[in-house]
Amino acid sequence: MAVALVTSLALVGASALAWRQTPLSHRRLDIADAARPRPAGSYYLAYDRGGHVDHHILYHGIDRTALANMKAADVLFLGNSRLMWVLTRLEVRRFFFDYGLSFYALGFGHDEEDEFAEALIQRHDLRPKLAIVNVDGFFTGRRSEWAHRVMADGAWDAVKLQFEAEAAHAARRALHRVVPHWGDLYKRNREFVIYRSRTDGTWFVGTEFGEGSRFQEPPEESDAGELQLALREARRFKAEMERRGTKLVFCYVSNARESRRLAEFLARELDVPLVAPRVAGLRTIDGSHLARESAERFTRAFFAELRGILGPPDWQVSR
Amino acid sequence: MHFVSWAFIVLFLVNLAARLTLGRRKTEGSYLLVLGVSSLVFYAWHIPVYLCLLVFTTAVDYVAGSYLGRPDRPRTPLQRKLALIASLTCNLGVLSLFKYGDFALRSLQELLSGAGFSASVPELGLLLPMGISFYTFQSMSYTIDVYRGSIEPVRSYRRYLLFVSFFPQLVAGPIVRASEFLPQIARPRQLRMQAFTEGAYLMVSGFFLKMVCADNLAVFVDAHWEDGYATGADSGVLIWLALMFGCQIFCDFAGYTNIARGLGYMLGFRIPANFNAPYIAGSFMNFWQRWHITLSRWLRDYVYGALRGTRRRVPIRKMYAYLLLTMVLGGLWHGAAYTFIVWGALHGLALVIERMLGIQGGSGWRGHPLVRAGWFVVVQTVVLVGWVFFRSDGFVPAARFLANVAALDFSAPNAVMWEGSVYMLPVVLMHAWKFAEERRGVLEMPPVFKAALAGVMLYLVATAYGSTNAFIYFQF
Repeated sequence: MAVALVTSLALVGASALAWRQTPLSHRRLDIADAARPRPAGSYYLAYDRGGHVDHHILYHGIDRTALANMKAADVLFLGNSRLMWVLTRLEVRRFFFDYGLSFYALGFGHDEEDEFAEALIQRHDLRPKLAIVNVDGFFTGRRSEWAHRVMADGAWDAVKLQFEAEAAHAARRALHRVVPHWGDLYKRNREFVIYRSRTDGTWFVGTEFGEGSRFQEPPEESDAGELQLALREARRFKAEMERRGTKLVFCYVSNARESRRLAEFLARELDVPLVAPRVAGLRTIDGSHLARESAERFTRAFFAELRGILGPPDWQVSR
Repeated sequence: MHFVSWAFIVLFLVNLAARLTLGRRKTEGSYLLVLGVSSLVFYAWHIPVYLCLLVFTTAVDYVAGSYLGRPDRPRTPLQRKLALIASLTCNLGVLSLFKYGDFALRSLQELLSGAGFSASVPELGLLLPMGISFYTFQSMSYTIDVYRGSIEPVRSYRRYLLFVSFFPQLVAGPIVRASEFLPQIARPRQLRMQAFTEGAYLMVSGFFLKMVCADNLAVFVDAHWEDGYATGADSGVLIWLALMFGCQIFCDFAGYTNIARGLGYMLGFRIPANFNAPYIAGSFMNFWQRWHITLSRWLRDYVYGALRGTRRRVPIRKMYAYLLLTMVLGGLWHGAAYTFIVWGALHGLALVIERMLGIQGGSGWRGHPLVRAGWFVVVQTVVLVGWVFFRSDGFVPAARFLANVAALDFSAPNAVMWEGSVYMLPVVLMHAWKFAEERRGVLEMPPVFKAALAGVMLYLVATAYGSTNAFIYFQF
């Protein structure tokens, strides 16, 4: 036993040294370097190499604080990770503070579609005053494979998944500060390390992705069949939300993969306001998610347009 | 719960602590209680309500065993037979319902559609209880052995429940016989460093096979397997994929078994081996003496043996038919799909042909090195073909995969395949070592080398693990 432990420790020491003292030191591991949100207790792990965790936590309502805040929110944001990416900014909180409204960012990664969002809204009987929906890839009438699993699992499965994810995350963070994961280091694999706020559902992205690269929004071509399918789903979704006393606003977050044409088409057909600012010189980290500086600029433009739709806050009007 | 989880680490530490404190002789009542409760927690972790199933089937078999084996109240042959039938019906009924219910309904639907009926047959949609195939077989073997008079019935239901639910081997084997396990409960086994270190070595090697080899191979296999269904897929890549899957399933299953056995050792119990370098098998019979040993032994003793009966002479054609049927049932045991039936039938047919040719005996021309080498290639090729059916989504996709291989359309091997091959290396080395060991080309590895190897494996578990994947055999 002693020989085995000594051998392991010797290898750990040798690899830790190799990682720090050789050209390998230029290669980093996101799990070791990722920032942590503060205060730590206000956030839970949403996503890392092990996969999504927040789908289970929110759908099954196993985090009571998150569930209570979600139910009490005046404004819900719905959509995919592109929306969640820009909602990480302080700007969001400042904006709604001005209006005296509470909000909850209820978007999901994994390109989650309307069926999962609607199932979650019905499950917890959410009745916000306003729902802001990121339209791209949303109105499909489908749910992702991951959503299938989430909805088939029970609350106990969600508890187990969260326990395993948090334990593995903590262990990997500690371990890979000392020794690398050789596969990830060799392939220079990037890892999204994302925490989610219990208070307002926004994401804290621990991984640093750098400046990103410029992109152009794709040409505004859309399949006629897809447009009609999206329109049918959006109409149904709007009816459901109106039944809950919720007004809708559509939005579009600039990216290199999906054009704004669908958002404009749906907003026009359903007479729903649209927030889709055009901001020059944006950069993405991967063609889909805006780089940090671009996300900040986009968010400012986003909320400036939203302010135009909502009108000034009551306290400003009364002055 | 499965072994590659933090919940298992907690459970393991609790039981280890119990062994070191309460269970120093292993026979203490309090220690056995800890083991029993841990086993039930381990099983209930997946779907708590299914614990009722486990308790129900063990209760039925315990009662049947008690009924069969009471010396003060001898039963008539008819009574004994009825008790056995009741036990087997209960076990196989539960297994059939959960495992084969939807398969039967789907097959009926296909039959009806083929006959021109438009009726829709609803599915049961029952989640498969974890390990049901394993613990059902284990429990049935007890009743059958009591019926045959091979063992005495156990008096304590708690001990019987511990035998069936013992968590190291509950959900994916090895399939332990009552005659192997029950006597161990009453037999003291002091804490011994040698058993402890042997157990630790097995556990480390098991985690290495599973987390480093199987999980990394799975990344390549899962990413590229379905490319094999498309017309014109590269034959070389597909052969490589099949080899990778062969290594993946071995590492997955043998890894689990090693963890189970190592855990057993540390807790004071001996669990039988389930694998013995199957990819050096020179005959089909030898392959089944090395692959999933406890299952093939079960099938031999309880299915083939029952079919053959106690007659001294069985017509050779009937013997071949029994062999084929046994292997088909063995395939079906693995899963409710036609691909598993084909896999079982393939092995059954191979065993029959081997018997017809008398090759497994190795006498006369059959013992010639060239014949033996050639037959080794045939055996391993058929095993590999079988794995294609095992892994594929259906019979037609598997056939397409094999057709693409047979087209012998090769291009240059790509870097991705070479990268994946790194994780096959431990399997190759392990088999090569075993081959040399069996032919006395090498001596048994000295303890200090084994310990150093364990240290290397432990390091690699921490630094080269793949994505966490469920054990393949958990679906059975």
